[in-house]
Amino acid sequence: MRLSYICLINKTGQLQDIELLIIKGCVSNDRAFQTRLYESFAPKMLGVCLRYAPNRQEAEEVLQEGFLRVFTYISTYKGTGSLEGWIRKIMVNCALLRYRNKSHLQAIIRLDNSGYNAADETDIISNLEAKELLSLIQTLPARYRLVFNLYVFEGYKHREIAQALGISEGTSKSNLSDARAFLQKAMSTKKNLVYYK
Amino acid sequence: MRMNKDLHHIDDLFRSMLEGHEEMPSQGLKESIDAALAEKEAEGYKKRFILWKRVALILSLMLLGFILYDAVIERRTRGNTNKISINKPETGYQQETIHPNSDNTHNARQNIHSDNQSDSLFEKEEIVIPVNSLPSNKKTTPVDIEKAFTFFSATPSTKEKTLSDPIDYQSSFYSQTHKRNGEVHERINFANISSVYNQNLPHSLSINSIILSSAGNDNTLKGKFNPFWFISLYTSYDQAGYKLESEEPSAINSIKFREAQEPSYSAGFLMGRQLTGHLGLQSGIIHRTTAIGMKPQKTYAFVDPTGDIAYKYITSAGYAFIKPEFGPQPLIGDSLTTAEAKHTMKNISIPLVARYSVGKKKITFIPAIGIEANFITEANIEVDIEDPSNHEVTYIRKLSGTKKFYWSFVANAEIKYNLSKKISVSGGPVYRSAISPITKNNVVQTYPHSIGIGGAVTYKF
Repeated sequence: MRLSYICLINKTGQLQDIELLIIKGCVSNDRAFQTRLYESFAPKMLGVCLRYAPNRQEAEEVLQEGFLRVFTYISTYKGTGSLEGWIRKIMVNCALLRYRNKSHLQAIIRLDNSGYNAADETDIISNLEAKELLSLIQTLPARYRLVFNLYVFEGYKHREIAQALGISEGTSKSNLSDARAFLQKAMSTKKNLVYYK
Repeated sequence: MRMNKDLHHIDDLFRSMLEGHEEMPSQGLKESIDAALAEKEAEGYKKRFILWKRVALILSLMLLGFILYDAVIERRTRGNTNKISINKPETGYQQETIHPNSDNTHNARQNIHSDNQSDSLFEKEEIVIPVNSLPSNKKTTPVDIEKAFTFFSATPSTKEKTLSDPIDYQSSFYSQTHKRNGEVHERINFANISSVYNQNLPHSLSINSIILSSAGNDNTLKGKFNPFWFISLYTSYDQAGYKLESEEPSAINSIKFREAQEPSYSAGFLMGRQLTGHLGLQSGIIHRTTAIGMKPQKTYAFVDPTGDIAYKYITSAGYAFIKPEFGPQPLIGDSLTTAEAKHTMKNISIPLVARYSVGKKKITFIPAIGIEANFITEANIEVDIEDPSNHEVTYIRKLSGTKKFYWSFVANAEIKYNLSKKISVSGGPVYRSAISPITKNNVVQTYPHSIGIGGAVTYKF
């Protein structure tokens, strides 16, 4: 027999803050509340993890590790920022831990952008789905992927990226530049393929 | 320049397209997370209770060590030897030494030596005799042996048994005590002692004095302990908790989430006996009340043991079937949300603890461990049931699924302050942990534990 204890109405009949209730439930290790939290944030967080991982399988592994940490350390959440932001930070940290060391083993590709003509990016984007863009990011070498994500999506400065990844600021800038060039070239190829189709 | 601008523009393009990107995770991912969490929790539970197990083990080892130490010291003291020094009247006697006797049956060691270079008229010879070889049928009064010495004539007494064999010499003397100048002395009278020593000592040596002294502190001779009884009025304030075990981790979590332990109180009287200077046993009867606050919960209708359909209300200590007076008769699977409730459990405990007292004079430290037999006398629950138009308070005196009896481990450490020779007060931490569950046929097996502060007033008989 499984009991349900999600009771949003307290004795006086007032509606309690649902997010607070869920957090309290998760602090008490209540599976029902953990499921609620997971269902609320898992799709968004998988979107984050997919950008950091080279494929969906690894993204889900990062997501699993991230939620394990969320449920383990949710008692430390002080409510100063949004819960989503806190969870997102955990996911990003999990991804960094996973790929930070691996990135050293991967070859850094120097791209030649001299022949690239970024004439009409709007057309390119309009012809590419989000999933296709995601797959482009996933094709980036690990280091480029991390730097690009941290700079573009998380809003890190190069100094912060350098600290997070244990590299120099110059390397961070260089990696970001290479990542952008790599993506542009890849988008161009995609565009040509789209036109060809 | 355009290239750089385009490159920076790509950031915005990717951000706008992927910032809010969402995808549904695979179906089995949540189950994997749950399984990993359950594993972590299991490890956490093990780690949590391993601390208490270690504390209990350390306390047990300490107590065992104290007991062994006490036993060894007692044995050593019992084996301490008294030196009987024999003065000889002559000087210039040829040196002769008899080494400690190796004959086990002799049950005594003799070490006799003299110094023919001494000018003293009374030179001491020593015969070392184990204290436990003193006659046991004589009354042994505490004597400060180190100070006591008695000179007496070694003239054989015809009234005493005459020894034919020196091996039996230990039975040939007896002791008696007397007071001299306010001090208690032990007088040792040897019967025909010359016949003993005539076979070991040169014939020219006559014994005319004996000094009896102790080689160590002997409880049997000095400050002999008299066992005594004591009775205590006891009370404690405890913070209770419990360990839950179940095949359904969700049941454990749900109970822990909705139940909040409140302070519990114990009171009773204890009686004990101090067996030795350090060791004592204590037992008695203690009444304990534990309260648990219950959060609102949803209950579901089941068939109760009488065949009726009622809402099953589950607690850590058992379950109860609730039948509200209002509303239609529930059907199986119907649910009812209860308001807050209060669960109270009362039991009578009979402890048996071994105490080890350390300290002197006014203050004594007494660690103790033991077991408790607990009889649950009452497990009731008072629950508010309400819907928009009705309110009802249901009181259930006896929960189902609650055992009548369980065992628990108890450990405490108290500091006792002697107000007078008879009366003392004591206080200190006390820890109790059930070693058998208090529930049966419930969704969880519950092992209550508590830690608190106890105090007692003790009267010594």
